[in-house]
Amino acid sequence: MRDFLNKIPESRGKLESAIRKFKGAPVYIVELKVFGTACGCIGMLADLRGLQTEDLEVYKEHFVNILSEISKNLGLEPHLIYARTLPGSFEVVAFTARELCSRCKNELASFEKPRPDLIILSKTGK
Amino acid sequence: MAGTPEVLGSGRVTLHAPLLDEIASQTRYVHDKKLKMGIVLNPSCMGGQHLTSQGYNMFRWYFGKLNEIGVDTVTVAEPYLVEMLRKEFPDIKVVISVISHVDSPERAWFFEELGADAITLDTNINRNFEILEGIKEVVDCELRLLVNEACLYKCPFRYSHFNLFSHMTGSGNKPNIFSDYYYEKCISFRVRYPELIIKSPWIRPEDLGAYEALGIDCFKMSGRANTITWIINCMKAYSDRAYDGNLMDLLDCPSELRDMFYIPNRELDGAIKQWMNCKKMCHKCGFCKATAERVVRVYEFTDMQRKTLPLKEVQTKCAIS
Repeated sequence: MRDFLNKIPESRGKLESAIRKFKGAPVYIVELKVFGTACGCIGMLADLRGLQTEDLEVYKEHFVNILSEISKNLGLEPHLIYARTLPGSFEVVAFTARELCSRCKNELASFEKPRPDLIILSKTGK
Repeated sequence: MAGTPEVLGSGRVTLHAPLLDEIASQTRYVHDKKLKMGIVLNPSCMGGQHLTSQGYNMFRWYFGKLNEIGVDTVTVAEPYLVEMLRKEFPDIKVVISVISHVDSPERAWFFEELGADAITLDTNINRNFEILEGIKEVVDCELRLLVNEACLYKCPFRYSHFNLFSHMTGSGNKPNIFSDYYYEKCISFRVRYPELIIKSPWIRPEDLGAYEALGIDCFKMSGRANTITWIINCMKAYSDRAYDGNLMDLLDCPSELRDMFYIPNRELDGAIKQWMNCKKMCHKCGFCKATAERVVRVYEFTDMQRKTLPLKEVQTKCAIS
């Protein structure tokens, strides 16, 4: 169990370093959490500062690669990887990699833009 | 300490909401220690309530209670409350909040005319010694400087953010916001442009003497929403007039970034000489940007350890696209 817990700060640091490296600019991952929701989803959430929506367009593939790698290392097999933005602004405030429950497969994964503040980066057909 | 939010909001969102009984006991405590009690009631917007009969009666009743308790000073941002306190409660010293944005000799004069006993100056002029000197020449009241607020210089969000705080902390319907947009943008700007941290007009503990030479010797600390240990550490640094560590440990507004940036305070020795003559033409000068490149380090976490890298190593030109 302790090994798994140690992976969480390691993953935070790894995500931060990787983004800084491919973007070539400071980015701050404030917090990385592994979560389980009441509906049955499990996943990983990274709160961040310093990214904007245009970064998602330019580095989308890199974000998907590093988020997939980190979530896999945490034992997750995410159906959906998405970014959350601050509504009405260019700010990206979080990344989520999520294994979806059957309800959320319908509600989140069935649409290209399930909510105005979410930007889907990757979706698997499982 | 902040006043009772059921009566009037303030410039910081905190969970603590003292009622009059607690203000009375705290006042007795600080008076026992031979200190002064100041109550901060500084929302920037009251939605015009203070100019209604009901609002006037409520504020008059509340200030009367503070007067009975023996509170020494009340800090307000609203000009009407300055005059009301001066006229109706002359025993209470009136302090003008930093949120009144006193940034010129003229504005300082206005507030002194309204009844100010002390003015906390707009932090945007903390590094404008010509204006500070001008204000000192024009008014007789005490001048105070907020040393570690560290908001963005000429922040575009400042008025809107304080208005939001006013409504979040005051009585009446509180907006159910989805996010503190202003705070998120402020922090994001600093992550993307670290030189903004250097440009923001904080005053280092070591540089207080430059202000005392102007005749301004009252220094106020920002950060009442932080932990008690944080507040004590800051007070110690400023009373020692020296801090050998990360400058970010002392700054209030961007404190979230103290785990991202390491700014060795000692490496900023002497920068005050430049800021004392700063013309505020950042696009022509570049001193703060060059200073950021020289001193700012960025934390990196690998192998369960934190180390720091020079900012330049993180700001590489060879980003993958």
